[in-house]
Amino acid sequence: MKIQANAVNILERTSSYLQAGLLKKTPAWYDVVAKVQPVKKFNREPILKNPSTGRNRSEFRDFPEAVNTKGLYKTRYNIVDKKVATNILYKPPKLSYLEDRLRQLFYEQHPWELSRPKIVIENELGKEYDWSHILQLGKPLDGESVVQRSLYLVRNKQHDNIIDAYNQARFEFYRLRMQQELDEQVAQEEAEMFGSVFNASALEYGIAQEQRVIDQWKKKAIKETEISAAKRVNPAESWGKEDADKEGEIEGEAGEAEEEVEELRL
Amino acid sequence: MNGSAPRTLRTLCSRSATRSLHAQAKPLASLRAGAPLDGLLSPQGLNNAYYARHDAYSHRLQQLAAHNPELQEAALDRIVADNARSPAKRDLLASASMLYNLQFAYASLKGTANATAPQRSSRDALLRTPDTAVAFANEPAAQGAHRLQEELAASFRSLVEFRTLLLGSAAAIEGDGYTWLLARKYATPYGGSSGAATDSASANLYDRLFVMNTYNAGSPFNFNSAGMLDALRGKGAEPLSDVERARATATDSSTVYIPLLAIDASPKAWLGDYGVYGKQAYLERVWQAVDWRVVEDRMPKKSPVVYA
Repeated sequence: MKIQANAVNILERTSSYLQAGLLKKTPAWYDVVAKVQPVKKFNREPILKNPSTGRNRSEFRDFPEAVNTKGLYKTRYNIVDKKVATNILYKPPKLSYLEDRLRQLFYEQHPWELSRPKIVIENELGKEYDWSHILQLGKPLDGESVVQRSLYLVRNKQHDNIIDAYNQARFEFYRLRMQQELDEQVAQEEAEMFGSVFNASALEYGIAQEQRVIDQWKKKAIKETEISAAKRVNPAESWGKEDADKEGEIEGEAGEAEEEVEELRL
Repeated sequence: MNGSAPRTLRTLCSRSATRSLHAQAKPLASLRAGAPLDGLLSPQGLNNAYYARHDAYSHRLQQLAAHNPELQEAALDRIVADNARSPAKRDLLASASMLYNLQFAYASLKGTANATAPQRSSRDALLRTPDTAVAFANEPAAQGAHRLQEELAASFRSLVEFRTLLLGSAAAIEGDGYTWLLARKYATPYGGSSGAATDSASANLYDRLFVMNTYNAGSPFNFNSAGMLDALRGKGAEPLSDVERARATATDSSTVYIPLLAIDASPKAWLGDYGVYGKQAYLERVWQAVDWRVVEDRMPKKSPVVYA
């Protein structure tokens, strides 16, 4: 099918109408569309290079090393291979960055780091940080610091493989986290020693609220258990029954009910 | 501390109980005025950190004890323990406690021969990347304090963990204070190694080592504020909150902590020589300058039972 480009030619058409005097008034959108013109290039072009890895995508895949099901080695590309290789050029390439793998590894190993408040602004948009040190002014210490620091260590040849660099960055991160935790504890302790009084935290407040409901429920539960126990030992049941065994049974039941009430009271 | 605490402390303080206040208020013989503490403090720095403070505290203490012959003969830690609960003796308590802490902290410091003079740290120290090494100079065992090294490893799992905790706690103090290494004499509810033991040899058994901070004139003999607020509040006051009550009952007031090592984290010690950003550098030098044999000598005997 021919590419339908009528809609995107709106600027040219309107311009010529204006010139010819067919349109008297310039439309309100005219200047805006003239400034930001619609895309006119609809041809799909092959993407020959994966921008994340820099690898050439037009190359065929290597042959598998092992023999196939027929017991033969593959030595030539067949028509299907060639078609797949051509088709794939028009699809967006899969972006895979080393940073992503490091991030995933870090947060798999330290899942609780995810519970900390996080800045979601992308790195490229913020200011440039100098990763020769892991602590940054204006950026809290987090998993991203570890990732960037380990990349820095590899780029600056302080380690020749990424795992060693990651481990060093991780240990630096642990040291700083330990110090941060100590700082927090000591700051609170010091403030309390000097007479500060802290109000209940959000958690303590929540627990107090919950406890209030539980206390009310407990009162109600004790009352209702007493009522049901009283119902079960209805004296009308034993009227006219002189049998000693029966009486014993009823007493036993009453005893059980009392035990239940006692348990709730504990 | 209340009730039983001073009684158990008497056994702790037995070594210094015979010395008069005047003798205890003398400057330490291991330091020399006008000379540097090699590798840690310059002559001026040592004067700021030790001599100026020592003179001020001991002068104040002598003034307060001038007309009290009983105080003149008392040990500093006894003064702290006995007067901890009296608001009227606040001044006496503060001077005695600060003098004791200062003397205690500087008694276990010696110069390091192979270190350069202290330098002021630059602003970069704020963003300094921590050292991830697990080996460091001046381990207790290097000075022959093998028993101490073993005990530290047993209580804190490893020496590097102990060092991180000790120096980290000192680094976290914002104002004036000390970080202590303490040995716990645990008072069991069953009378195990408790203060109820009659002979002083078994009364001074410790089971584990701990690190603790004290602030301003705080003292390891008087860290426990359990029951203090109740006394101040008096009748008809608001009841304690759940958290406060839990804290007050969490520590047993009859458990005693015996100090082994104190690190001076006061800006008076490091600000002059190391500058505003130099606390970390100062603390690392302090570690180098600790005389571990003195620390080991302060250690009592180990209890056969270790409590949680």
